[in-house]
Amino acid sequence: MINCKSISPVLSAIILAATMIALGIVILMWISGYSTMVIKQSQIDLLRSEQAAKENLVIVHATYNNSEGKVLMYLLNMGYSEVLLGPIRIIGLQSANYIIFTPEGIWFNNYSAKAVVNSTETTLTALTMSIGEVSEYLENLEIRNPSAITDKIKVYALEPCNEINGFYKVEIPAELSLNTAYRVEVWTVVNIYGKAYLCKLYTTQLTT
Amino acid sequence: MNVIRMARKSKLKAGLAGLVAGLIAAIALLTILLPIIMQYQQHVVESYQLEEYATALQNQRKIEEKGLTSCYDPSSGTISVNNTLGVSVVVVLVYASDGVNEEVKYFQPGTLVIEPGVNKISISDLGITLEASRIRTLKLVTSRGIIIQPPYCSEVVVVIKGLSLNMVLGVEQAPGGISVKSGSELFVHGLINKTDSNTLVFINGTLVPTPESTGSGNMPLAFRADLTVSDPNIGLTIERYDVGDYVLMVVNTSSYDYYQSDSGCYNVHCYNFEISGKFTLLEFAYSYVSKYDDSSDDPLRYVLVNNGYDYAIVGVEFNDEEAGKWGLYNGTIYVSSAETNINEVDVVIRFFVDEENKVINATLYANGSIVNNTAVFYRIGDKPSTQIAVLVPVEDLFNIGPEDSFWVKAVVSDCSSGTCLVDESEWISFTYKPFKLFVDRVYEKYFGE
Repeated sequence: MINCKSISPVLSAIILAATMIALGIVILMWISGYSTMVIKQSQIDLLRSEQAAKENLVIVHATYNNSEGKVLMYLLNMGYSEVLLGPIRIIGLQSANYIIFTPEGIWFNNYSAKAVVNSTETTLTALTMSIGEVSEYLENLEIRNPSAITDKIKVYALEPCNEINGFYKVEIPAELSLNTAYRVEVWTVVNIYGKAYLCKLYTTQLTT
Repeated sequence: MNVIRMARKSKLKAGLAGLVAGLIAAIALLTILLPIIMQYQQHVVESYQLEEYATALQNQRKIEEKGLTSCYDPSSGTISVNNTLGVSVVVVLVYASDGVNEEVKYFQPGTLVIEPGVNKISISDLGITLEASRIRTLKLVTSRGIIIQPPYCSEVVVVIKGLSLNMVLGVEQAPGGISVKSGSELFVHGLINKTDSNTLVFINGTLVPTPESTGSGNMPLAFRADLTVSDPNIGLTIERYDVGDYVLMVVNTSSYDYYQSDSGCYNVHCYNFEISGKFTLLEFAYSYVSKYDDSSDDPLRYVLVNNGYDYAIVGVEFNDEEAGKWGLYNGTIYVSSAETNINEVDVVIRFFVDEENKVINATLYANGSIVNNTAVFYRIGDKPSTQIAVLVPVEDLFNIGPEDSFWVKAVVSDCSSGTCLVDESEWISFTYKPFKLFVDRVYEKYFGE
């Protein structure tokens, strides 16, 4: 005798659907977890690209003041929103006065920034920010182990020039050789979820 | 029969139920997956829009950069700006320096405007108090963030330090490039690279004269720029006949010739690049080969050294202008990271030149072993004197980098008269300043990475 009513087709369908959904959810959760990570990176990348596309920082001139032993740079924020001025380094000149040092030997020059309005200079207060965890954004500086950076990053908020009606002056204490060309790298920083990520690199050349 | 019918019915129901279950599961999974797909799609769309925005901004800046030409007259303290954009341009900042003192003036947007056409701006009107004749650097920043750096009106070709370039003509010296009229000519021969995109052509490399003697007075020509320009302040005529000059050019042209021509080049392919007629020279940088004089009469006249892209060129020029005399030269060029005994030098070039039969041979040795495929360049003819030079990959051979110095010494013997005359140069120190960074930067400016 065949017992045709041993399992109801509706019940079997419910069990089948539940099993498929459960299995699907497990797979999707795995995909979702991975996607979340990718999307987070993608969001950071997008915010960073957006800021990089919008900001318009101009390095007007870089010069070396031999008598005072410092490099002077004049900057203008020609964009429509605030720019966070991040690490600066003079290539080929490892200053003892660095602010970040990693086991890979990456360093930045210490510097101060001033706002110049109607020929009056006002020293800016540096903001300190933790460096973002996503290491990809530090790779172009060859920092492969961001956890080795113990210091927080120092940044200066630069307002658009038409808001402050002036420009910015950066002073980097440095002893440079005369009749030599130096390359200066200036990074801006973007604040994403309360962490600092390197945003855009500006470079200029300085001949002493 | 009934039992079979019931079994079939039951299977049908189970199948239908399975189908429904599958549909429910698929809908549920899609409901979960859909937001992820949508979010991803949103990212792609936003990234694309951002790229478009950044490109548009960049294009606007380029248009403004090319549409403003300027120069500074130090005698009158006047900046002339020719605005060919057809719309006004706002200047927000002016920087001036005499090399010691500097002044920076900020102008509220709208207070300093460059109208279409030629604008004459006195630096005193800008509030600059530096002595006009002493001003060495002048920069104007527009509201789009473009920096206009007017050169002196009387000179557009400048010598800059730090790069070992004798001439640099970029957007800072000739904004918008030099537009030359028909009748102008440009000729380049040597170990040159070419990249082009539409009408934009990028040329860089080491130059070698062609033995075809196509230059003025039938001289063997390595480079000629004979440019006719309507602006009387800008003009350029150069003819060069030496082995080992370096050139970089970005040219906007609708027609040019570029073809392989190995004359004067051994173990390497050389090329000719030629333009006749109208074109625009956007960037131009030129480095003359350095010629170190050997004070004695015979047979060595000069030691030749120059920087290359990521290599150096070293060579010699013979003292062989005596009429009817064909030289038979043997020699050695020593290249070292320090001034030392010639027996201790690791990089050595041994060469042989038979002028009459136009035979040359050169071999590069590193630590006693032959370096294969050594590029050799030469100039042999009735006039001017014979030159031979070799491309030395100094960075690979003795671990030197930019700004490091290396030493060169040459010993040459001429055995054409039966007895051999031997001539030896002093050790010459040369600072290695390769053009790689500079060339790459110009390349990226026009062609991207």
